[in-house]
Amino acid sequence: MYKRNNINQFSFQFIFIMLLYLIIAVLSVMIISLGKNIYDNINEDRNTNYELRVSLSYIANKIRQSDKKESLEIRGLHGANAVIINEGYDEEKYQTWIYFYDGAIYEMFTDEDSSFELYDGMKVVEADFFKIEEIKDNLYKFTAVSKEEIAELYLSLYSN
Amino acid sequence: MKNKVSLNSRVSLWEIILSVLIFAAAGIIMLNCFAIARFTQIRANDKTIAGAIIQSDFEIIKSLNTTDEMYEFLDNSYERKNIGNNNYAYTKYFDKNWNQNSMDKEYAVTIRISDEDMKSGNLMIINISAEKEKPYPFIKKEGMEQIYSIESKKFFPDFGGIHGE
Repeated sequence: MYKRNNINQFSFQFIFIMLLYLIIAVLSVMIISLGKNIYDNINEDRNTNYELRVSLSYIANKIRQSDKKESLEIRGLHGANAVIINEGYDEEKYQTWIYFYDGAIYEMFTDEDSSFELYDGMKVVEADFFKIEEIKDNLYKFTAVSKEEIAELYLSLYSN
Repeated sequence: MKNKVSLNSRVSLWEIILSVLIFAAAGIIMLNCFAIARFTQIRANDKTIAGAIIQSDFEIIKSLNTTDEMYEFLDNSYERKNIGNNNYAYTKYFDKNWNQNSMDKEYAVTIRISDEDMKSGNLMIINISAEKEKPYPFIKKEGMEQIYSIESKKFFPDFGGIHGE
């Protein structure tokens, strides 16, 4: 009789301990999985945030540092608008073109009015979509889209 | 008793329960850290978006030539509230995805303007701030509801100036 009780107690204890280990294992997997999901979301948000912020900050800084009379203009380039910054070095005239092409913002530094292909430019930052609009003489609007997130920035020019 | 499994009796049941409790406590701390990291990231995103919205509205105001144009822009884009002493606050609301929405108010961008009368025109002191209606969960710090704030000035000349033709 004593021996039978002992066996029952042993099996109950064994099952309970195994159950506890099972709970630990399941909780561990859940925490790791949850952590992975949260990390993935954070990383994705960070990338989206980076693309939106960098694209808008880049263009804002470029325009701010070139905000001089007759230095900035917006011109059509293969069906989309591009920002053109006119500069002069050693009596030669140069242009910096900033435009959207093939999922990224590109910059192209070239002689004034020389022709170039869109892929000749230097890729600055990736973005799903980037739009440049002239609202009025001294006000431009820039729209950046990255992973379905939209960010807009208006910039007023002091020189116009 | 062919399939008998031998248990090490040196580890008592209480010790195992204690280790599970320690594990559970560590798990809760880890989950809390994950949640804090998530909401810190959301706050960083909110700062970027709020910064772009506030900067844009400031740029629009700075591009305007007269106070009438400025008030017209504010009345068209914002809801006006009287905050006493004939001063007004202009507010627009956004939902959780930062789409302008007056029903689902998750974020608010508010413009407060005070006017300094000068001989040659009006000097407007403009404060724009973005706030979250409810504080961020898991991040308990004072003043966390305010996401972004800028104060600047714009002078509108009565006559002359570069825009006064």
